[in-house]
This record gives sequence, structure tokens and C-alpha cells, in this order.
Amino acid sequence: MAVKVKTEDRSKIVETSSNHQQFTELFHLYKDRTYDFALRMLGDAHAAGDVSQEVFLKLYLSQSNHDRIADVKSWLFIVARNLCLNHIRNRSKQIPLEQLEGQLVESNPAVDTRQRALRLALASLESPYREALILKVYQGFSYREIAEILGRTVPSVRSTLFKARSMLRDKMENQ
Amino acid sequence: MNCEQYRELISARVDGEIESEELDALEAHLEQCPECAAFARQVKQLQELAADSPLVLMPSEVEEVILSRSNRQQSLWRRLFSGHYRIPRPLAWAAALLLVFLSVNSLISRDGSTPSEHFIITPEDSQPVQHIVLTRADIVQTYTTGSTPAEL
Ligand SMILES: [Zn+2]
Repeated sequence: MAVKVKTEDRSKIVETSSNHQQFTELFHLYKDRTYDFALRMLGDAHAAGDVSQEVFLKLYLSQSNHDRIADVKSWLFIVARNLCLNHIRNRSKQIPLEQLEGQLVESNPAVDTRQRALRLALASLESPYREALILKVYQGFSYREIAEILGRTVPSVRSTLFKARSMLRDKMENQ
Repeated sequence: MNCEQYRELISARVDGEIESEELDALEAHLEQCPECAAFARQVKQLQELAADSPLVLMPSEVEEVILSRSNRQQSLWRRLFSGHYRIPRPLAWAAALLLVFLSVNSLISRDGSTPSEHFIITPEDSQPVQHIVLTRADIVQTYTTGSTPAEL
């Protein structure tokens, strides 16, 4: 049976190409921030690579499905954060902190003792405090953006960041 | 305001998220509370330390995997729509079968018989409930050229 390509399908091909181009642009724009976030959340370079892959595959599929994404940056971090939390929940046993630290140093050799102490203290915080600090301090999001990513209110983000800093300070002092 | 509340303001100040009235009140408090002033210094040091830590870049191996996966996805989409393969998308297939199954079920339970006319599906007489799925030419084709849908 001879198969004709319908006009509608031809436009689909063109559209797929432009989707792909748009995907590549977004990927290059956000790949490092996404990876950095996952690495600091998980303290595990391998897991951070897996999470990054999954985040961008989801982005690719959303574009192919014409899902409306109002703010790609927030969307990427919402997805990355959920995947990280799933990963933490499913981790069979907690990875010893020293091992996490080793993986972080490996990814970034230029760290001095104070930096190591900070990373260690950060890694030992509970997820709600760690994620808020990473989004604010390392990723530079505003309280409003963090509230959107975490599904919380701005006052709650502000209070969480204060508590996170207090805990971080105590941990750094006790090291 | 107590010291705990002032310390929340110290944290907000470091983040550049403090109102001007709050800032005035905080500065006044810091002049007379050495504990909060010490907290402010420590928080500032932590902030500077963190700011010194550069963004960790995505390793090139991870980057390559993601780009090659997206390229593979793209070529799959291209093939599906280029006409070389007239295969309905699996999801559409599943949805179509589910709809047919559900309508058979609901009709049987209502009058105990299987009204076959409901399953003669052509582009001209699609049922309202099946409309969404059946508008695609390739899906319709599977019903008209395959086994009689009543066997489903
Ligand atoms: Zn005070």
C-alpha cells in the first residue's frame, strides 16, 4: 500500500526539529545549574548524573507533547527536586558523610578545609533545610522563586532559611 | 520582637529580602545585642564561604548521554510521522482499546446485549465518546482494516 505523507504530518516533522533546537538551547542554558543542584542535594556524582538525565528527558517529552510550561527554570528545579527527594527516600541506606564528601571533592578539587566543613555540615542537614539553602545560597533564587519550587509560602521559606543557617552555624562550630 | 525574630531578619538581610522598616529595627537591635551581632557576623561568613564555592559543571559524559538520548527521541518522532511506519502510537492504541472495552461493558450491563452497530467505526460515523481518539487517520485505519471490532 502506497503511503502518502499528509500535510499535517509534514508540519509535525518541521515542528519536531524546532522543538529539538529549543530543547538543545534550554539544555545548554540550565545543564550546569541542574547538575550542581542535584549534586549538592544528593552528594553523589553518579546519582546527580542520573537525576539530570531524567530531568532533561522529561523536558524533552513535555516539549514533544506540547505541555505548557510557564517558567522553564522553575519547572526544571521542581522536577529535579522531586527526583532528588525520591532518590533520597529510596536510598537503601544512608551513605556515610565522609563518602559523600569524597565524591564532592572529586567533582571539585579546589576546596579548602573551611569549604569541606561547610559541605559536610550542609550534607548533614535534613532535606527541607538543605534544599532551601542550596536554592538560595548556591543557586541564587529569590524567596518568591524558592516558594514556587518548594510549594511553600514566602514567610515559610524565610523562616526555613533562618533555621537552616542556625543549624549550619552550630554544626560548623562543633566540628 | 525577640532575639529569635531578629535573627530571622539577619538571615533575610543576607539574602537581600528585608523590608526597610525591618532593616531599621534590626540595626537598632544589633547595636545593643552582642549575641545577635555575633550571629550576624557568623551568618555573613557562611554566606561568603558558600559564595566562594563555584558551580559544579555537568560532566561531559552526562551531557553526551542526554544529548544522544534526545537525538534518538527525535529520530523516533520523525519516523512515526514520516509515513515509513504507519504504526499508531502505543498510547493512542491503549486509549482506543480501553474506550471500546468500556463502552462494551457499559452497554452490556445496561441491556444485556452487544449492540454491534456501535463498533462499526469509520471516519464518517464516529461515536461522540470515541471522537477524540478516532479522529486520527491511522487509528481509524486499524479498525476498518483489522478484525471486526465486535470481537473485541
Ligand atoms: Zn538579640
